Amino acid sequence: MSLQNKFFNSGLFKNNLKRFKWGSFLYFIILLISGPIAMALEYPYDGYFKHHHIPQFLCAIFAVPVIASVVVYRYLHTRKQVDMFHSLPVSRSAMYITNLLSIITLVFVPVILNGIVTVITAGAMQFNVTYVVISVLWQLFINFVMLSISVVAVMLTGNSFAAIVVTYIINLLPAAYVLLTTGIFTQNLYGYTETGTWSEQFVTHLPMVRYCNLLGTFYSKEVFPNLIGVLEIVITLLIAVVLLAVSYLLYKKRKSETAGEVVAFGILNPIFKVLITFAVSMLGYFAFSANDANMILMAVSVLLITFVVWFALEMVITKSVKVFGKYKGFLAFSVFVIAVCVSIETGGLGYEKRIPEADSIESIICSFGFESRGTEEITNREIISTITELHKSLVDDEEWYSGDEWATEYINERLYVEYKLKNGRTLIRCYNKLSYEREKEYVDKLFSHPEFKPCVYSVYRLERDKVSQINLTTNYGDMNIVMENTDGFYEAILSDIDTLGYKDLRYYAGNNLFRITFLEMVDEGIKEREYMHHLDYITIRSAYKNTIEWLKNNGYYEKINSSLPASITLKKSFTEEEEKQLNEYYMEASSGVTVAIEKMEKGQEIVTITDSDDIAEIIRMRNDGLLVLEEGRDKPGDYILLESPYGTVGYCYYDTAYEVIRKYLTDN
Amino acid sequence: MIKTTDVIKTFGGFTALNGLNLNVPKGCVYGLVGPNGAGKTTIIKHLTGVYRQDKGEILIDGKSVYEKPPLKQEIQYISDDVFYFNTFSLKETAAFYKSIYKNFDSERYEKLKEIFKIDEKRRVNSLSKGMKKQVAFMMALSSKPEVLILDEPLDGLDPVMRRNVIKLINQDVYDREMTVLISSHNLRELEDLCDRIGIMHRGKMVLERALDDLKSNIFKIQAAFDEDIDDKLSAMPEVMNLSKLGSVRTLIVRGEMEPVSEKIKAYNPKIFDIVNLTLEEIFIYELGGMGYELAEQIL
Repeated sequence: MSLQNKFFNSGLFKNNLKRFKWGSFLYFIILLISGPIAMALEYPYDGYFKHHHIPQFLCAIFAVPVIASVVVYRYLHTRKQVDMFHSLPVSRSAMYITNLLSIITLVFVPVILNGIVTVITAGAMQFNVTYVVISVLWQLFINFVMLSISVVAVMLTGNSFAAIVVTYIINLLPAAYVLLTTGIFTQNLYGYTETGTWSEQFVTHLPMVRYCNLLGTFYSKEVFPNLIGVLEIVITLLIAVVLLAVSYLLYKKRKSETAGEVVAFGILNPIFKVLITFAVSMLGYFAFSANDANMILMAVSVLLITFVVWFALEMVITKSVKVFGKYKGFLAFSVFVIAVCVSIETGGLGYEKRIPEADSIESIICSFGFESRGTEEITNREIISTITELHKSLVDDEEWYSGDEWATEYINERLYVEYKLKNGRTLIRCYNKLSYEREKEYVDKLFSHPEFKPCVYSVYRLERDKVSQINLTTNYGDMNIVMENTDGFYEAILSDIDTLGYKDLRYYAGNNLFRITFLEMVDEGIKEREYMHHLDYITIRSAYKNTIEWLKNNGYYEKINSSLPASITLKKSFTEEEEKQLNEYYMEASSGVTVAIEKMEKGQEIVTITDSDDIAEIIRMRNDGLLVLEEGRDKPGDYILLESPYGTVGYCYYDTAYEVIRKYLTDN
Repeated sequence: MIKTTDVIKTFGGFTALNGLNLNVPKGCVYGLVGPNGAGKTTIIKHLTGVYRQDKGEILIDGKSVYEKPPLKQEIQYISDDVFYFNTFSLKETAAFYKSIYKNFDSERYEKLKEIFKIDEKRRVNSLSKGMKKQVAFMMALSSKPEVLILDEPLDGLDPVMRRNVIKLINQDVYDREMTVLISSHNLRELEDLCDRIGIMHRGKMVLERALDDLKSNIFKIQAAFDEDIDDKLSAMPEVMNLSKLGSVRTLIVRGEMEPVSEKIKAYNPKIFDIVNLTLEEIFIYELGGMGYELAEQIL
């Protein structure tokens, strides 16, 4: 007996299963091959959980839900079929729900069947079947979420190709917009930073992006609830259900005669056109502004792109080439696009110059880039006033920041400032080019203020009783020394920080000696789950004399010096020209280019030192802070790099190189 | 049985139905004719619940048809280009119809199979256009509808099958009082099949009448006169069209035959003959008066 009511039609349901069972079967085969079969082939290695189930998730994220939705609802997109289907004695409600249930069945059954087969296979191989169950539940969840988006796309469109495109547009256009906005603002707005904005969070929470980011971890018990909490799952499912409800309403509203059109609802045509064109126009603007194109040239190019995309979409929508009569909309839109570009180019409607008055600031979080972990809110009025003055100085010197030079000396020297205003608002800016010479007055004032350093250096606030291990590592070898005796160590570090100024505290080429990491043992009750949690870290630089002295007195310095890399290679630093040429080579991809890169890189290498005494001497000099670049002599091509297989050891010059290095330079 | 009142439907800026009124009594075979683009297929799609009108009322058996599955159980629609599921055989297609239409009569289907003689195992989409049409009739008639709506139904059928189909339709009309609405450009066929005709033009019903009434109300007179009285003839309100070939005048006349004949006979014609018009001629002359005329020029 067939079940037919207002919301379901069994005849239609069975018919759907009969018509599309091949698709389900194909999906099942893919799952089977990438699941239990792959697992059996690799026995006893349980690589299935780490690698082989990834295709199953890719199917769920990108392919199966969209194909199933488009295929089952395809009748809406062809006139002949929609006539037949909608003349049947089945209400649109029943038609929508029955087809939706058909899609869910067609998609879920293969996943569940594969899950059963995988559980049996995993059980037979004595693998943990819990992982399989987790993986299957995730696949069902993702399939459901993604199909809710695809079904909306199907309802909004009038043909199947458009439905597929719109599915990906719904999934990726918001991300594209956010990335473009961030890219354009970062490129063109002085002081802009993504930090603290909603954009990053927004993009990473878009389903397609989110599940791709979690690929390879879905088998794991740690994904749930550590990476995705119950609340997020519930909210996502609710959103998916809302989308399906919206699709239901759209289905009831859509007109059969829109079959074959691009967009099923006329009102969406301009929205669709504007959203796509604006994204492409902004992409054009982004590309031209990245190349520092002339303003006029840029405006003309952006307008040209806008023109082409606008009318191409108009042609697609109207299915006619006679679209140029509708130029008024284009003109209005062009004005808008140019207004956006011009407003960004001219400082983002005051964005660049906006600095809050010191009186209006509640507190500030501030960082200079070289020790930015865990900065604390600054409420001292004097410091707040100095920071706003520094900020003003950076903003006022337009000539300085409009330049495009990025010399080595400025890397890792920046000002990140987060103002919490008294009116509850937050204003965040980040300036990546901070020159000590230019901003000396404000920077010295800040670093000499007794309350400033405890705010920006988290080591002041470190809860020492929590520290169960201190590790000391270098960047030239795989050495990791665990320090057991720490008496007086904290005091040595703090006395260095207290007494040193900005110039010595900052990172500068070659002055990073060791990294000290403070660890806390975390015990979650299960032995295997114990791990070391990083509480804090600090980099010991060549100017940290008290700390170095302490390390020497306690025998750790010797230990550091005794741990040597197998070799040290002397390399001539690339000049700007060579760097540019090499980058161009890297951009291409052919065997000829590879040979050119190899030749060029070999040409840079001077000699490799393998003599252990010489290496020990170089490491000793390095740990004494002697292999540092001099200010003013740090342009590309000026100096020689000393590199170990693990990383840079230090820098030196031809003329002032120490004897142990100079003898190799002379020989070569 | 079928009644539409002031139905308006627009597609974008184009008005396809412009206040259409249509009446089909129960048990009637109704021929819907009109030039291309008149809106015939559009109204049919409204009658089958595919389209929803912008304004006006569409009733079948006194009930609105849109989104009324119980009512649609009683309606069968055969379009000009019927859709079948790609992989389905005739047997599977019948099973689908049986699962959807409560009145599907398997015995009748078996009998129709004998008439149409189509291999049940063949994929319907692999059949010829005419055979697909036969399948459509098999499905529609097996479902025993109260209303059968046909759009160019006999197109593609061979003469024998046409006869068979017409016979089967007539049988259901007589036996079950099935109401049939046929849209076709083959007016010769409609003339044999229909008892009521509606002529549509530019989304409106321009004429709707029983075929017999229609034929008795419009006729052709061929007459020859000694003197030139064309102006007088043209001035007569009943004369829709006047053409001449030598001394013979052909008049298409609307109205009661007797009084009009008397009026013309008063001019003492040498020859006077009354000829009945075919439906095709009625169609041409009716629409001719509305600016839809035969082209004068021959390229």
